[in-house]
Amino acid sequence: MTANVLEINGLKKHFGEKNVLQGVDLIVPEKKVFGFVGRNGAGKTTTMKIILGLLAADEGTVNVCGKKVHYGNTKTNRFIGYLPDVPEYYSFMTPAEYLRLCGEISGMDEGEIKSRSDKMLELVGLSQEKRRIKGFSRGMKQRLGIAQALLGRPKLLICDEPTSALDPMGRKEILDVLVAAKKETTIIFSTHILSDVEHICDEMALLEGGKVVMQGTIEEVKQRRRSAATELRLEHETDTKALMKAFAELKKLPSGDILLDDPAKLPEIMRYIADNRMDIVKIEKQEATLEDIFLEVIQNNSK
Amino acid sequence: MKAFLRKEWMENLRTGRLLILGIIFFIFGLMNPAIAKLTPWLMENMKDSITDTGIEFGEVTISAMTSWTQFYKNTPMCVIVIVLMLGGIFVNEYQKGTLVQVVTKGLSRRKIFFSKMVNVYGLWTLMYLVYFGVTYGYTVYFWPEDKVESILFGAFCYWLFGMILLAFLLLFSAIADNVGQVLLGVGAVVAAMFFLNYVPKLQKYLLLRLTEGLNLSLGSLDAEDFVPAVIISCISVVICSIMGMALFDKRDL
Repeated sequence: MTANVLEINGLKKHFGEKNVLQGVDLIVPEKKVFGFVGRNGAGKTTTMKIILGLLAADEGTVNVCGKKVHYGNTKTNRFIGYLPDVPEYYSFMTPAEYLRLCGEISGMDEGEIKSRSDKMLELVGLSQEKRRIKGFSRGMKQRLGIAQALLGRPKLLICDEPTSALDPMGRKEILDVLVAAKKETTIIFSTHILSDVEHICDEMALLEGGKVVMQGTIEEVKQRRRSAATELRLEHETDTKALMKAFAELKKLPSGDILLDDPAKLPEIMRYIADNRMDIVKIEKQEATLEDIFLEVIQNNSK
Repeated sequence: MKAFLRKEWMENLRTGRLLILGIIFFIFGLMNPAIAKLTPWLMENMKDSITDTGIEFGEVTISAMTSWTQFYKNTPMCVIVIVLMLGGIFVNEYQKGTLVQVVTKGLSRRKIFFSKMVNVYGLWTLMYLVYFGVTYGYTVYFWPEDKVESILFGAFCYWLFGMILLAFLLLFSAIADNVGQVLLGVGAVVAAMFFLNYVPKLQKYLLLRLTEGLNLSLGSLDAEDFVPAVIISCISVVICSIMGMALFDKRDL
């Protein structure tokens, strides 16, 4: 049986007049890369800070590995590795010195700190780096962030938008490291870059309007899309015009193709084409991308 | 906590904070006997121009007392330097977000506050020892026969004055978001002390009494006159530290 690393129930949080979280429910099973998706300001970072005990929730409970999270000095942090969106370190230290500090704070013994530090620096490609952190690029800091987060063999690795500030090369490096880390730990990967989610995540949840509005495996989420678009092209321009006139919901794309958003209308349209002996050149069902789903959910919620 | 204390010490060394403070306090310490020693020469050089204005002055007597008078004049500068140098000890970490990493690794906020407190009080004590030691050493060297009363107790009182300002600095650091707010808070405490000092009945209880070590050496005040202010200061240091720790426990990082 798969245990749940993280369970969130009815989480609420407001800042002044703004209700950022309005009853978030979330379950993250073990050994998965879990995408936590939402637009900027949706409450992803707030949720993560509550999981880490850095912010107090107004209502609701958070359990990490079966233990309740408390604001302030929560003991559940021993299960968690955390990578903030823009990690900052003590710039006067070298990466090895910083990992040593992290290891000592976590209560690891001397030998384990040495062996894990070497292994983690090797994993993120910083083992040869003897310079102080002061001169590091953003990508290097991000990789060091993953090394420190994984140092204590956490059961849960929380990454808050780790790729959003990086160039394509830096992004690829981070995603590769996270894929490698997947063997050891459960990863919550917060982002608004949906291609990254499709690339590495097993499951995802979409946070919108202070609630989780969609959760499941990537395939399940894609299948749940209410409107699957269909593209078709007719041989003659006159037929295209006649079809568009007969069905107002059809849209003409710049390529000349016709787009149908509502699949329920398809049989009726096909009948019309057959009855009028129109020639079809192409008919194609468009597979929904996460981006389409994301936009659709946001549009539906803002109506 | 040992690891975080070591990090604080490493920061003092590698950011040059220790070196800068060491140089400044050494120079201030050296200036006290040096200015005393140079006073006759300065007066001699200025004699003609001063005499032209109609002011007459007699023989200038220089002694160890001149050096210690200078010590009490320069100590406020030392206090200002240490407050300015350590004003960002917490808020710089809030602004960068470096404490988030440490807290999420499991180090308790109380241990962080305590480590910072040990570092702040330790730096002040070390630098004050350098400052006092240099002045003491050169004063004894230049005027070996001169004896000045109550130097140690007077110097202790000024050290305690520095401690209480740093305790307020730590307290304001627990709630402030930037260095300006911390310095404003400490400045407000000093301003309040000066304001209250106008009430004669309050003077012996106020922390400003701790800066009057020179009067102790001159004999115009006794050690007993300092006791209430010393006791109040010690209690204030403890209260500020406990309050700072409690507020730091609850602040958003």
